[in-house]
Amino acid sequence: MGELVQEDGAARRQKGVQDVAPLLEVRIETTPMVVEVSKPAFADFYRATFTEMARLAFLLTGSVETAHDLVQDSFVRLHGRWDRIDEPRAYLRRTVVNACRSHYRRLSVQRRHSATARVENVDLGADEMIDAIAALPYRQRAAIVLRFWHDSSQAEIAAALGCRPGTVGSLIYRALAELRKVMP
Amino acid sequence: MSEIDDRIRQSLARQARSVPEQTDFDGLTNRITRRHRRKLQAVSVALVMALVAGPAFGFLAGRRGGEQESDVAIGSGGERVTVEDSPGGLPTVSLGGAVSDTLAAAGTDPTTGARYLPLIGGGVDGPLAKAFVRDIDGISIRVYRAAVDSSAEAGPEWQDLPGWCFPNGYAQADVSTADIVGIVSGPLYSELPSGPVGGSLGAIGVAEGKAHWVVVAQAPAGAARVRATFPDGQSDEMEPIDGLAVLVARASLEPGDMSQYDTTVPLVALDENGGSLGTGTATFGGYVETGPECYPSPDLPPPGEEQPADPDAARAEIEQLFGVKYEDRTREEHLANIDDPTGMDQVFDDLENGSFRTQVLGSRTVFEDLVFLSATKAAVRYHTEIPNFANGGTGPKLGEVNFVDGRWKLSRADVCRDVQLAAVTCP
Repeated sequence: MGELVQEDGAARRQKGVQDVAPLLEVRIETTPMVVEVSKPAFADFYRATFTEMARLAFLLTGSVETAHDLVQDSFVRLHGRWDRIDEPRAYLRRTVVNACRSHYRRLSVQRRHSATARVENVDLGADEMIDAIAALPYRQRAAIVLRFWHDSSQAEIAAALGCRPGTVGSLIYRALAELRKVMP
Repeated sequence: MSEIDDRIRQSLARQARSVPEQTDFDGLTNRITRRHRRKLQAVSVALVMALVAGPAFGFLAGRRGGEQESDVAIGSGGERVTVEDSPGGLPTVSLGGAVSDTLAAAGTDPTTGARYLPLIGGGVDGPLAKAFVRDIDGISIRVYRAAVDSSAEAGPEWQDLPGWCFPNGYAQADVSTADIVGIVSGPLYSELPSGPVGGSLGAIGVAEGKAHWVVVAQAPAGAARVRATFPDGQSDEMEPIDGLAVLVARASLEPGDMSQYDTTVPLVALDENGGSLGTGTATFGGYVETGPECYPSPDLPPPGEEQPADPDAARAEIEQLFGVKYEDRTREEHLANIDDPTGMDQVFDDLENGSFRTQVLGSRTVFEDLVFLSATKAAVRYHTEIPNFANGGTGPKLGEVNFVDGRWKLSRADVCRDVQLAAVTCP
């Protein structure tokens, strides 16, 4: 039975680097089929932030089931980098926002490639404002949700969306203009 | 705060509250375990090749002459691309999750000159096919490839997982100049989640102070060129050969500074007129970051039109295939329960004598539910209890049982998928 091993950051980045490949030989032969995931800090962080992130993902996707899936997957990615991330909450928020965006891209690809692709069950409720927000382009929607629900700062939104802070102002301005146009 | 700001806040808060406060740490644990396995599988073949073959072998291979070659494309300037005739065509190798103590040596068939791909746990398993050789600006790139059979890992066809969930191929580039040699490799996929082009990024020659970026890229059908733009702004492009391109650029990389590898290389596939067919990125390792779409739904498919004459009796018989601890069945019973037991005797030997012997002997598959897809085939959902395993065992899995020789039996594919957990690969 191999000992428990977790890949560290350097090793992960080295996977494409021939010069250090011998370091990975040991990892292959000892990599276990049992993964230790219950580090107390990570588990505590998970329990403290899961619902918040699930709600964020729900507001971005409109599906509770999809939101839970995406957030769980975001935590999986966070776990792989847990030891070298200083601000896990910011990293997680960005990962969730990106996962929701990727979700739409994947749906688009799936629909192009498979006539039997599952149709997303979007349940946004009867709130006209929510429907109007859901109709916004993804980055505008994400900016609105992060600003008005999550109370994120402009810098935090920029980090989550991977854009410049100035772009956030523009996204929110255009989103509000659209919402004012469609909402009575 | 304006009125619309207030309305937005209220609506979003109300909507968000409809998501109940709940967590699923056990489910997360399962996902982490599965992801760990999948990543290991995706990189293991590439890593083993790099480890066993080594730079020296690549250097020698890059300079071996006397092979059959036929020019099919000539690049501009100092570029020359030749396609090699590989004996036996494109080999198919199985990509198991097995992790064995045995790493078979890579070698060269003395009669054909073909490179061999050593597989973890399975020894040498067929040659890597020659793909092409690209010479450009004093850099020689020899490219090899194999198809990868990940059908056992992908599960039954009706799960219909996207093509990026499992690699269907493997490509390797042996790169050499007058000063350095190195190997960069990566998995290939039938489709990618974010666009039609993607690839694996690697760096060679760093220790020698002659660093080069190398991208092994897969391109869509119809692509006339694939272009990579490297971190320092250099670009390289070539006409893909059978959907494969290897792109290089000199790099400014310092030994020991791992942060410089935290990068990606943008790729674009171009048509004959230079128009973009799509974009993508090459990343270290080259494997796709899969999402929830690659976690199969635990829902069984709808029942088929034909059903067994006595569904209740059939169900009862199928349930008997599950629920018994491994060590409580004889070898004959294990073999008799598989629809195609050819070669499985060795598999059970490996299970009972391998590194995970204790876990294997104490494991137990637990039946959950089934749907009859026809009179002779049923889809089943089950999980496996494994002592000393994360979370006590696996999450729900879907598989098939088949009516063969007058009785219901487990599908060989499911058994082969499950034994990978114990580092054993089916022949």
